[in-house]
Amino acid sequence: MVDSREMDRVLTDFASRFNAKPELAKMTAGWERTITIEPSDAAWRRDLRVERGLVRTLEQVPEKAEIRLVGRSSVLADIFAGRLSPTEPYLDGDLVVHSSEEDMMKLDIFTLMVWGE
Amino acid sequence: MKHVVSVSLGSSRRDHRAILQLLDVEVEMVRRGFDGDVEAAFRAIADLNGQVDAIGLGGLDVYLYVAGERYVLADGLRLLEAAPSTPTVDGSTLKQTLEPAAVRWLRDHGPIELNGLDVLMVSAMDRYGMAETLEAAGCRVVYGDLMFLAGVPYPITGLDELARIGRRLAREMTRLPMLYPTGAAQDAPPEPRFQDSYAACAMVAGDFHLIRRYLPGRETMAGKAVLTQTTTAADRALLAERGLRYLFTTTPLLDGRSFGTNALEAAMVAALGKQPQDLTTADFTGLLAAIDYRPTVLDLTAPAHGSEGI
Repeated sequence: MVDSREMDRVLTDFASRFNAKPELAKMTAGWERTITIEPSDAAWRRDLRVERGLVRTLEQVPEKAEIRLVGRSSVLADIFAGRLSPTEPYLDGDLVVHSSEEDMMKLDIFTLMVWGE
Repeated sequence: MKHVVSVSLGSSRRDHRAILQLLDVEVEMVRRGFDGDVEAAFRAIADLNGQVDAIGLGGLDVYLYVAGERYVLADGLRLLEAAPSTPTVDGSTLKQTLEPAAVRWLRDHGPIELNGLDVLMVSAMDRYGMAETLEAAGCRVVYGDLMFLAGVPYPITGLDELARIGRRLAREMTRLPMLYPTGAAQDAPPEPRFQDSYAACAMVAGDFHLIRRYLPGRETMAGKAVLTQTTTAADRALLAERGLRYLFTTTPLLDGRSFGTNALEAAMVAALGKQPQDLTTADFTGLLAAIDYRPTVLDLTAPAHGSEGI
């Protein structure tokens, strides 16, 4: 199980890598979403905000999130650390994505662009 | 007579039957659309196993070829394997020969100059050969794979970038449901999107269902050209109504009819009595020579707009 401190490190690293890629800023132009990361085996939760081409973690729990990711904490951490493509656990049922199909696809693509070669 | 069935995820409204002479062999070709129902298509292919000489898969790709790499689409592969005793093809191999030949013909004989032409190619991962040949002909091509298949408003501006993004994404994109319109979505009225990209080009190229899906109105499209695979009379009427000038279709006209590459590749397999993996480039170029292949060029401002596709 991944604790909240380790997840914070993973998300901070993810956000800094994302924000350092100008092509991701272009790809996410106009796509403003709150993403809730909700482990099924731990009490913590984390929220990310994508806005104006940048990603940041939210300190306070938002009123609503357009995308909710639910899975074991280790799976969620592996996705944001680039150790696991989101597709794999999604197809295996280890990751549940509550969002529109288009948002799910975009999140998958953006995550892969952060960690791709 | 040989018998070939093209099983398509596209609209059943385009169903069709034709008999043609191909390489001195009479081939009956039937197109059956399943309106986006993958399970119904799977059952139909399984039922055809051992009953026909070859099966074509339409409305989806099984293989994508990007910068020398081949990627396999999970849904497509499942359908391909539903008929273990009957050769089944998706047309992607023929497409790799046919579409570059079409672009070269247009470069040499077409009504518009390709060198320096601004082109929006709605997706290139499914027709990399066309993309390479357009760039070789001097076109300035913008690739819309992320826009049209995933809704990401990011035009890819060259083959190098396409290959780089393709290497990162293609393997994953083949495993996820993309925004490709199937079934009734193929007949829905266009919902204009990415208008700046349509406006900035003189020709739109690629899969017609993707071109059509976000097609803007006459004020944006007047005078432009479309380069695509096959179209119906309704498609051509739509393009004419939106003011487009030229329609170039890559699929061959045989006996006055247009055939999808999957149907034609299946017919080749049946006529030659070969397994798909045994078809060679020489077989494809031989076929194109035998039918005196050239793309169809339609001036959409002329009164009649050609024939129905299969």
